[in-house]
Amino acid sequence: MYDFGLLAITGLLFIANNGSTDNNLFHTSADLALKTIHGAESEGADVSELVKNFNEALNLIDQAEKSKFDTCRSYEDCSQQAITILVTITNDGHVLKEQAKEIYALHRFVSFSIYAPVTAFTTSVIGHLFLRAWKANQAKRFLQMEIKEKLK
Amino acid sequence: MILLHLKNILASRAFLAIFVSLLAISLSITYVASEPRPEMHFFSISTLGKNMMTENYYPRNNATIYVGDNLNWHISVYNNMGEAEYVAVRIKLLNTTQSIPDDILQIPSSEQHILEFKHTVMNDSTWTTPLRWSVIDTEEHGDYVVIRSLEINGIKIDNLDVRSLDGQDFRMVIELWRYDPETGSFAFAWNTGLEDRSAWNQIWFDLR
Repeated sequence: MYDFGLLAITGLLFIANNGSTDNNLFHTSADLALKTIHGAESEGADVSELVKNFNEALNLIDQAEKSKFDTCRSYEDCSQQAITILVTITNDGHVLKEQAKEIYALHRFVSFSIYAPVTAFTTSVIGHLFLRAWKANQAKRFLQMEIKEKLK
Repeated sequence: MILLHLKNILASRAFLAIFVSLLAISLSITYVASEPRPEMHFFSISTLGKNMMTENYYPRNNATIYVGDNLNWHISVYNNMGEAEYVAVRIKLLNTTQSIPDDILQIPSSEQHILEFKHTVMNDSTWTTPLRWSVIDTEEHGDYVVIRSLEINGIKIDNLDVRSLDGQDFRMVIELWRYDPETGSFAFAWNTGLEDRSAWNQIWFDLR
């Protein structure tokens, strides 16, 4: 079902480094978050919200690196906020991926077992009725035919 | 009456033949429609002028700028790689003799970037970011003009050492780098499925 191993690693990384300004933690979290976004996207999930949050985390790290603080107070604060966002993306991404998988499976089931047969059946009935009507019309025309002598 | 008519239809061989054929066709169409189509994957990067057009790059009607002039450019990145991409736009200030990216070998300029913007771009969408910059400090060494300091988007970049004869033919090189999750680092080139590709721009200017 969910990738609990991945989530556990992310959680442990977050807890173990809480309060630190380790740049590697950001990269690890970003890497996991990005992989989760790609995973969810490949299953057809709408990842726009995840991407928006990812960019927010990038913006926080940018503020930390350039020491230009707009939405956070200090390097540590920016880093922690960014990592929290990335961990949330990883978690939400897994949920989205599973939801997208289920929706895709349902969509495939409905398409193959309902839409396709119903379309084929309806078209067949209509086609058959048209065929019958055409045949009846042809027979009627044949029966109403008159033999006429061609005058020279 | 209608039910009887329908029963007759359903029992007929012609109906069965039509139904089986149409079912096969509609299942095939459903299958083909549900499979992802192979696409050419690519990025594109463009540098736009003041009005988000490929014009008005310079304050005057020529490529000459002066110390303190404000240049308002925009960098636009389009992602058609089939998934959201984490990209870095790297800005490099070069003179005419420094190496630029190689389109054949797909290698970036060997010079260090002076500024970098990172962003994640959704598939089939464009990200545009402003690039407001000005030269704020220069030195003259004989016939050479040396750019010492720039300001880009409000960030002062000092300790530069890019020199050019008479201040001619400086260039701003803008490279697009893509984050490769396999290697965990940014890469200048990417594979489209057929070949390696890269994207970069350069805009020349003279400094007075």
